[in-house]
This record gives sequence, C-alpha cells and structure tokens, in this order.
Amino acid sequence: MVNPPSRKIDERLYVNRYNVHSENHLHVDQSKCQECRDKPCTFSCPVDDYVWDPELKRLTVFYEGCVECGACVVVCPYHKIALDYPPAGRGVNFRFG
Amino acid sequence: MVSEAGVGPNILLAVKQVPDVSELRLDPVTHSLLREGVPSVLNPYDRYALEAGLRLKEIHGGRLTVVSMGPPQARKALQESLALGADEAVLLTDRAFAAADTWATAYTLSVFAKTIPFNMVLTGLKAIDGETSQVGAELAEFLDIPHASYVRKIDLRGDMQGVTIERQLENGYDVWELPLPCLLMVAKEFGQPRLATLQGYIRAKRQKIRILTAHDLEALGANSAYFGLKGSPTFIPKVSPPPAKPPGTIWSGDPKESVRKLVDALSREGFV
Amino acid sequence: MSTEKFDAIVVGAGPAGTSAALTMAKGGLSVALIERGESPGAKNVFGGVVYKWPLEEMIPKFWEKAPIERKIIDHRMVILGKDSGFSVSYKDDYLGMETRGGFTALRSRFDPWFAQQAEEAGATLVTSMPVSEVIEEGGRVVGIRAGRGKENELYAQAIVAADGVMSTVLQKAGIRGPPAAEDVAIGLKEVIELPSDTIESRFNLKRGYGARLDYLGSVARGKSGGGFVYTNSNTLSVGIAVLLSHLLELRCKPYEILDEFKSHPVVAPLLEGGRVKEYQAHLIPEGGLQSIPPLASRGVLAVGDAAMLCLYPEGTNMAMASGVMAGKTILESKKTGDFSIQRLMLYERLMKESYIFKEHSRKKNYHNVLTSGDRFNTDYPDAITEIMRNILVVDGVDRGTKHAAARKVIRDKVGYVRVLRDLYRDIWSALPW
Ligand SMILES: Cc1cc2nc3c(=O)[nH]c(=O)nc-3n(C[C@@H](O)[C@H](O)[C@H](O)COP(=O)(O)OP(=O)(O)OC[C@H]3O[C@@H](n4cnc5c(N)ncnc54)[C@H](O)[C@@H]3O)c2cc1C
Ligand SMILES: Cc1cc2nc3c(=O)[nH]c(=O)nc-3n(C[C@H](O)[C@H](O)[C@H](O)COP(=O)(O)OP(=O)(O)OC[C@H]3O[C@@H](n4cnc5c(N)ncnc54)[C@H](O)[C@@H]3O)c2cc1C
Ligand code: SF4
Ligand code: SF4
Repeated sequence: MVNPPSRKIDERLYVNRYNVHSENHLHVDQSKCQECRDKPCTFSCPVDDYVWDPELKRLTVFYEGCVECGACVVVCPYHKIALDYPPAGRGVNFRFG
Repeated sequence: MVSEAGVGPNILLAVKQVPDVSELRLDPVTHSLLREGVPSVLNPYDRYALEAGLRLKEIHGGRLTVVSMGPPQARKALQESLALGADEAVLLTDRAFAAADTWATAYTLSVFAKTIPFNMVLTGLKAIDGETSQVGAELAEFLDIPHASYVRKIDLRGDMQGVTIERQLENGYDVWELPLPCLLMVAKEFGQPRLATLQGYIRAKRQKIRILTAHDLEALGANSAYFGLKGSPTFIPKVSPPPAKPPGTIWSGDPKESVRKLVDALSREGFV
Repeated sequence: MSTEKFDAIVVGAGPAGTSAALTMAKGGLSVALIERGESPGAKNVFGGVVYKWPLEEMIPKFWEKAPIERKIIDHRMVILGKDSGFSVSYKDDYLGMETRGGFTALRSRFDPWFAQQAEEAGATLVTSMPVSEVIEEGGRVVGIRAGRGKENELYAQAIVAADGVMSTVLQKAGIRGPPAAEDVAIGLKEVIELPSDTIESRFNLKRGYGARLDYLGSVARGKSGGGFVYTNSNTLSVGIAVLLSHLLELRCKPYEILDEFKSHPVVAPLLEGGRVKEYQAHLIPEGGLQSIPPLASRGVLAVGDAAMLCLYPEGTNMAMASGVMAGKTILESKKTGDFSIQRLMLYERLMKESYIFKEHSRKKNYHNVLTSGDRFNTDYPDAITEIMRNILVVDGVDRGTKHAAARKVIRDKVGYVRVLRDLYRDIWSALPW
C-alpha cells in the first residue's frame, strides 16, 4: 500500500500557501520507474511528493505539495521528470520567500 | 438608459476584489487566522460572470464594461478583467465608500450603472468574503430591472428583446425568459472560466482604468448619505468563529483492517 | 490586434531580470518582464541577505524606501562540530550605515518592490505567466510562448533569460540542459516567527539592525553543506544547503538535515519558542566557473542563476550585476540598431572583465572543497572540537603539553602538509570573506 507523505511534512506544508491547480504539473515515465534502482525522487523531494508503491509497482505523485524547486528533475537518472510550471500563478505562493 | 436594438449588447459587469480566503489558514497552535501575505484576488465567482460576458460578446459583439467599488488595490481585479477581454474598466473608489454593507454597495454601483447604456448586468453569485449573495439582487432593485440568480446558461435573442436562461437547482434546472434589461447572477455551473493570455495582459497594462470618486458620483446625482458606513443599515454586533470540531479518528495500516474498524465505528454510532 | 514587437523580453522577475528590465526601461527601451508567479517573489526563495552593490547603482539611496528587514552589522561564521561551534565574528555599526554590510529581506516583499521600480521606469510587467517555449527563426531565438495560440506569443529583438537555476528559456533554446547534481545544492529554509524584541535581545542587536550567522562543518552528516540563521524584523530565516549529489549519497530526506541543524545544541537556543510560518525549498547553483553556460548565444543573454552565476552566499548581487550588463548590452544594440548575435556578444566581454568573473576565478577551487573528500566536514571540525575541549578545560595540565597534544591531533587527523595545502589551495580561495 502507498505510504502517504509523512506527518512531519504535512505539518510543515500546512503553513504554506498553495493555490492548487486542477491538473498535475509533474509528469513521470512509469516504465522508467520500473527499471529505476534507487528511485532518488522518493527521498530527494523536500515535500515527499513521490511515493513508490511496491505492490502496484507504481510511482504515486502527490503534486499538491510541490514547492517547484526542481530537485526531482535533476536527480532522476533517466531525466524523465517533466516539471511544467502550473499556469496562472497556481501552485505554491510563498508569503515570505 | 437602454441602448438601441440591433447593435450588440452593452453588458455591465460588477466585480469585487476579495482576500483570497481559500488561502487563509488557522494557526495550528493558536487557532487564529494566519492573514499575513494573503493577497487580494478577483472574486472567484466573478470569473464565471466574466466568462458569461465574454461568451456573449463572442457571439453577439457589443461592449463589456466592468465596474468595481473598492480600495485602489481593486485595480488588480479590473486589470485582470481587461486582460480577459473586457472593453472598459471603472473603479469607484473613495474613503467615503469604505465599510459599505451590501445595500450601500448596491446603491453606489447603481448610481454608476444609470450613467451608461446597458442591456444586461452580470454579477457573480456571491463574493467569497461576505458570502451574502445580496449585492446582485439589491442592485437590480435599485435599477428597477428583473433579476435571476444561479444562472448557468444564457441565450440572448439576436434582436436584444429578451433572454432565455437556465437556473441551476439542487436537482435539475429552471428555464426562465426575461425581458431586457435584466440582471443575472452567474453560477459556477456556467462553465470553466478562461485564463488570460499573454497578449491580453499586455493590452490590459496599456488600458486606462476610469476612476470615479464620491464627488464624481454626487455630480451624477448620487446622495452621499447612502455611501459607505454611514449609508449602511446593517449592524454587526459581534463576529465569532464557529466552535472547534472534535478531532477525527485516523486508522492507518492495513486497508482491510482499517475498513473493518470504520464499519464497526459507523454501526456503533448507528449510521449503518 | 496586431502583435507588436518589444525591444527586449526578459523572462523572470527575480533580481537578475528586474535589473535588466530596469536598466533598459530607464534607457527608453520597450521591455516586457514576464514572471510566472502571481506576483514577483511568490515562487522565490533565498537565505536572506541582499548587498548594497549593485542595487545602489540602479536605485540611489534605495535603503530609504526598499522593504528592508534588518541592516546587517554582525557577521558570524561558525564551524560546527558534532555538538560544538567555533566561531569568528565581526560586528561594526559602520556596516549598518546605508546598508554597507548588506540587509536581510524576504523575497515576497523585496521582489515586488524591485519590479515596481522597473514598471515605474516604463517596463511592462506581466505576472502569473509561465513561459513554456521559445520561438526560433533562422538559428536564433526571436520570441517566447506562454501557452497555446498566437495570443500567447511575444516577439522581441533580444531575449534575456533571467528565469533562475532551472531556466526554461535556456533549456528550450538548447543552450544548456538541467543542471547536474554536482552543480546544484538544494536549499531548505523555514521562516520562524519571534517577537522583534526577543530577536534583538537574543542576538544582542539594536532595533533595525541584524546579524547573519553562516554555519560550516558538521551540517550535513559529514557531507558538504552549510547552514544559516539570518535575522529579519520579526522572523528568522533558518536554512541549510546540501549538494544534490551528496544528498544522493546520503540517501536521506533533505528536511532531516534541516531538522538536525535546527536541533544542533549551538543553533537550537536561537530558535527557542519560535513558530514556523513557512517551509521552502529551492536549488542553488554551486558549480562555479565550469558550469557557466554560453552567456550570449543565439539572441539570448543568460543572467543570474540561469547563467549559474551564484557564488554562495552571494547570488542576488551577481544576478543584479549581470542583469545590468545584459541591459546595457541591449541598450547599446538599440543605439546602433544592430541586434546581431555578434553585437550581443558584448555582454560576454563585459562579464569577463567584471567582479563576477574575478570572484568566480578566485574561488575556482571552491567547487573542489565542496565535492572533494569529507575532511572539511568531519576531520577538521572533529580536530577543532578535540583541541578546543582539551585547551579550554583547565585541569592542571600545562598549556605546553596541551599545545603539543593539539599538534598531534592535527598530524593524526589530517596531516600538516595537507592542512597547508588545503589552506593555500582550497580554504583560502573558498572563504566567503
Ligand atoms: C460591517 C461591514 C464592514 C465592511 N467593511 C468593509 C471595508 O472596510 N472595506 C470593504 O471593501 N468592504 C467592506 N465590507 C463589505 C462591503 O463592501 C459589502 O458587504 C460587500 O461589497 C458585499 O460583499 P458580499 O460578499 O456580501 O457580496 P455579495 O452580495 O455576496 O456579492 C455578490 C456579487 O455582487 C458583486 N459585488 C459585490 N460587491 C461589489 C463591489 N464592491 N463592487 C462591484 N461588485 C460587487 C459581485 O459581482 C459579487 O459577486 C463590509 C461589510 C460589512 C457588512
Ligand atoms: C536557500 C538559499 C539561500 C540563498 N541565500 C542567499 C543570500 O543570502 N544572499 C544572496 O545574495 N543570494 C542568496 N541565494 C542565491 C540567490 O537567491 C540567487 O542567486 C538569486 O535569487 C538569483 O537571482 P535570479 O534573478 O537570477 O533568479 P531567481 O531569483 O531564481 O528569479 C528567477 C525568476 O524567474 C521566474 N521564472 C522561472 N521560470 C520561469 C518561466 N518559465 N516563466 C516565467 N518566469 C519564470 C521565477 O518565478 C523567478 O521570479 C540563496 C539561494 C537559496 C536557494
Ligand atoms: S527517479 Fe525518475 S525514473 Fe526513478 S522512480 Fe523517480 S521518476 Fe521514476
Ligand atoms: S519540484 Fe521539488 S517539491 Fe516539486 S516534486 Fe520536484 S523535488 Fe518535490
């Protein structure tokens, strides 16, 4: 079963301001994820957006908490994560920055 | 004033700049509102009214005028309306308008409305800050025109003599025919509002927003005693937050086990 | 409606893009400044210190009107051991005058103010508009797209890529790819609220003045990483940065490193009682000289983080200075009516003679320090702790014996030759001061 993002992260993200877009802006290539040994996206993302489901053999993407940092794009060994910034100012909106 | 038949409709649209309440958060510790940095946005419901106005313009041509009463920051909502395709934007702004209730707001808007030709007035169903859904209906009364709320479809007759609309109901919809001019309060069932384009924004940046003050409206025949706080019959003695809900229960772990616990709990409470 | 052509399109309203737009708008050019955030700063994260130069050259006496949190008068550099801290600090009111020592800021306040200066000078700022494509014609970039259809296209004589470390413009134009994991750090930051009097008493500051505390050593489980605590008016900016390639080796969550930093005994008391108001993350260019892409290529001028010019902890000044130079280059092109790719190469020449390249050359070994071995993050901090504990505990053993023991620690832990070489080659060149 999918482990939901850790409680710690939930509490952290609660204070942030998001204007969540209706569509996912993070696109992965599930076929590559099957081959991917370390799955670095699952531990490099600062908000735990990526969770591997070993039973379903699928990568679940919780895009709602994304802070649009780009780390996942850099660490994916197959360069198969596309970060298409959400339109119209949606997504994270830092109140302090 | 009503425009001549035969040309495209003149549509007046009232929009409001509101704090983005969807972004308001309760502090997890003190349970007070975290207001810091919460920006103002175009009232989300007004986007549906704008979409309605823009689609009517696409079909029939005509002119779309957007008006807002509010502080100078409300320019942003107007600029966005222009970027989306409105032809003209008017801001009614003055310290004298501050703290208006729905009645005084509708009155002030009506003074401006009476100075321009229109076949139709559109408003959002409600504003997300006040949530009273009163301004539209009150504005129609001040203008002495019929109105309909929860509008989800608008068919304007080509000869500008009437309009057929659909009103969203809990389980179904009404079909109404209204004469023109009339006021329609547009519901979100109208359809997904469009996003402004890059060129739209650039054009909007160049357009001037017409500013009218209390003084200007008085010159147009308004009674300044009806403006703002002193013109507002509403009196709010106290505002209190809703009582805190008891915390929920979370069952984690094996899904089958969790479902069983959930069913047990529901039957214990007599829900199933 | 006809599609008009701007003299320049600047993508990204961060310090780099706004500087370019402001410079060009002041020179009378038509400039579109396009930002994906709802307002400038809404998507941006930084530690918190902006420097006087080159902001002052663009906006004289900016300190009288800019949204400054605190003027920095106290600079502290702390080498963290596992449970200890060895610090060097310099405090001077002189640094507080006219923000000579820099000032702390919050991006969601500073960036909109700065962009407003560009707007007032005549630039057209468009927000909530992510640029998704570049438009190419005859081997050069002539415009950008922000969505589908002609209505989302815009053309210009020159394009400035100021869209930060993940630059869409440079990637879409094929000028560079996404940065390599060795060339970027992930920065995590929390904004922690504390009453301003508490900050002033805790950091020993007068009203309006601030301290910056930069931490090295044992921050990231023996890997290269840094930490910081910067004072704002009534918040602290607390964060860490760790090279992404090292994070991959550590295989830990980046926020675990932030949590460890926050609970380090030297750091924790500073944060006591504060409430977290925001949690942020952003990438930081750390690749140095070798990671800088072609600066003027195919009609695109790369500025700021897009050009990987950040030299931690100096990023905003590099961004602004490069933005000004790109702006001046395009102004020059406008004057002569020559926007050819050759003419735009002037930007590269200006850059090579600038502070930015001099500093990058001086710190060319900084990247070595970051990526090479763990001695900077474990051996040295451990040695310092052992020596200081031995020396500072007065226990009847004479200092001569203790100094001898200290020399032995250095010899055993790192070796004399190594220390000298590190000092000369790497540490000296890597010092931020
Ligand atoms: C005690 C009190 C104090 C207030 N203080 C202030 C204050 O200090 N500053 C302030 O700005 N407001 C203040 N208001 C809000 C006041 O402006 C009106 O109550 C408000 O305009 C109506 O909001 P609503 O959400 O009830 O609107 P609704 O009736 O829910 O709005 C329906 C539709 O009417 C239209 N509309 C509503 N308001 C406007 C407007 N202003 N301009 C154009 N179209 C509009 C929109 O199309 C909207 O979708 C105060 C209200 C009260 C009762
Ligand atoms: C944790 C951390 C701490 C730091 N501390 C400091 C410090 O204390 N002092 C210092 O000087 N520097 C510091 N830096 C570095 C500094 O933040 C950067 O070097 C600087 O912000 C670079 O400016 P820029 O304008 O090039 O890029 P950015 O500030 O990243 O601005 C890029 C802009 O482009 C926009 N954008 C991106 N893509 C698009 C697109 N496709 N379409 C439209 N717009 C787009 C972004 O929203 C953003 O507004 C720190 C960085 C981090 C992450
Ligand atoms: S790193 Fe890339 S390939 Fe690997 S699991 Fe994540 S998305 Fe899939
Ligand atoms: S962009 Fe950053 S926050 Fe968003 S999913 Fe990727 S790593 Fe996580």
